[in-house]
This record gives sequence, C-alpha cells and structure tokens, in this order.
Amino acid sequence: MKKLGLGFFAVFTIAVLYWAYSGAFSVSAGMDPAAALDRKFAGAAYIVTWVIQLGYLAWLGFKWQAQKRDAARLDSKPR
Amino acid sequence: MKKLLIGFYAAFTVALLVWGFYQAIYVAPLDAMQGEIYRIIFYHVPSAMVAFLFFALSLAGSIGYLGCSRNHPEWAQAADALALAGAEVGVVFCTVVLITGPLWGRRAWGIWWTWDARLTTTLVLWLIYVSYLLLRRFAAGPQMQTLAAVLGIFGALDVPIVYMSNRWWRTQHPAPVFGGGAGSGMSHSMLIPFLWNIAAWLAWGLLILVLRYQVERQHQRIAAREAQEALDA
Repeated sequence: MKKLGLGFFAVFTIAVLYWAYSGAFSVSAGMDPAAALDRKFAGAAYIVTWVIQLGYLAWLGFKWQAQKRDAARLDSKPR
Repeated sequence: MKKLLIGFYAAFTVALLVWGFYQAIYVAPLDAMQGEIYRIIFYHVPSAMVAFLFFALSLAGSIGYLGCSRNHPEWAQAADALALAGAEVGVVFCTVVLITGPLWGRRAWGIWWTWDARLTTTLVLWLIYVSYLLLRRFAAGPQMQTLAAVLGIFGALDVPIVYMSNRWWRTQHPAPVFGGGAGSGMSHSMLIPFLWNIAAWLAWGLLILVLRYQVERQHQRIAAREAQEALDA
C-alpha cells in the first residue's frame, strides 16, 4: 500500500511538472526564433532544477528506508 | 504528531512552489532587454541565496561541533548533523545555480562559461563542499568529524567572497541587482514574483534540510548502537 502510494505520488509529481513545462514553455509555430530559443532554455533550466531537487529527495528517501531497515535489524538482534 | 507537522509543512511548501511558478511564468512581465530568458532568475537567484544560507548553517554546525565535542558530546553530534545537512543541501542548491547559470549565460552573453570572479568563486565554493562531502563519505576514524568541521569552516569563508566578487572585481556576471548602488533594483512587478519564489525555494530547502538532518541523526544513533554492541561482544 505504501509502495503504491509512493508510486502514485511519483507519477503525479512528474505529470504536474510535465503539465507545467508544456504549458509554460511551449513554442508556437509563428513565434520569433530568438524568443522561442529563450523559452526552450528557460524550460531546460526549470527541468534541470526539478530533476536535481527531486533526485536528491528520492535519494534521501532511499537512505531513510535503508536506515529504518538497519534499525529494525538491530532491534531484532538477541542481546 | 511530528509526521503530521512535516506533512502539513510539505503541503504548504508545494502550494508555495506552485504559486511561485505561476507568479514567475504568468504574472512577472517580460524583461525589456532579455525577454523570456530572464525568467531563469526565479530559480537561479533563490537557489544561490538558499545555498549561501545553508553553507552558513553548516558553518554554525561546524563551530558548534568543535566547541561542544569535549564537554557536550550529544550537542556536538547534533551540531555535526546540522553541519552535514547544511553542506549537502547547500551543494544541491549550488549545483542548480551552476547549471542554470550557464543556460542563462548562453542566451544572454552568447557563452556557456567564462572564468570571471563570480563564476569561478562559485565553482570553487561548490568544489570545497563536494570535497567536504567526499571526506565525510570516505574518511574513517575518530578524527573524521573534526577534520570535516575544520573544512566546513574554511569552506564557508568563500561565501562572502562569492557574494562580494561582482562588487570587488569587474565581471561578466551582471552587477548586483539588490544593494548594488545607484541604478540597481527591480521593478515592483518583477519584485513581487521574485519574493514569492525566494519564499518558495527557502521553504523547500528547509523541508529537505530537516529531512536530511533527521536521516543523519538516525545514522548517528545506529552507529552508536553498533559501536556499543561491538564493545559488549
């Protein structure tokens, strides 16, 4: 159930970020080429920012899970 | 209760980030000189501010560790966790700065990178804190935390140099927008979205800082228990 929740959260986050990206940084056919390129670069900066931040958050989540397993292992050890 | 509070804070942060994004993309007007590309300012500058703030927290943690390690070992461990969390989350934000900056520079200046004072000192700052993290990851033994604290203090000395670099030297990087003397500043219509984005990125940074701090405290407790069990065996 927890894994399902996390999966749903990840898919939802990616969908919202993609929706924001495609809405805000879309380039139309008749657009000035320089302005279109500017928009693409600004969009790339947005993507990079979120990939780094969410990648770090995911790494932190995995680390937390691993530590919880370590703590449980120590608790279950006979003294 | 703690989990509930973190959950509320996370929801508040996400709402703030969505609002900040809306302000940055749909409310802030186009820049007369740079057009659309200037919107990178809404990620780039707040990320730099948060990175500086967290490196300052890492400095405080490092000093706290060195000051408390003899008489208050439990406080020292908490300070050490703060120093590590500050440095690591600071590196994440500094990485964002170092990647979004060249994307902006390529369109605004026509080049990805130049060895001017602001860019170079920022890269040096990033390298110092990456070396701090590598030291913590790969060094072993009782001196590791002390060495890391000393490196953390020296690393933080670069922060004011980065901040002042485009005041002290002539740089390709633009002059300071705030506190840069006559002619500096931002129009009100851009300033409000900018402030929203600072608040949003600061809230996000604090959220992951708290999570990282908790993970490190848990790691310290596990390491202490394992050491105790090894002694008892």
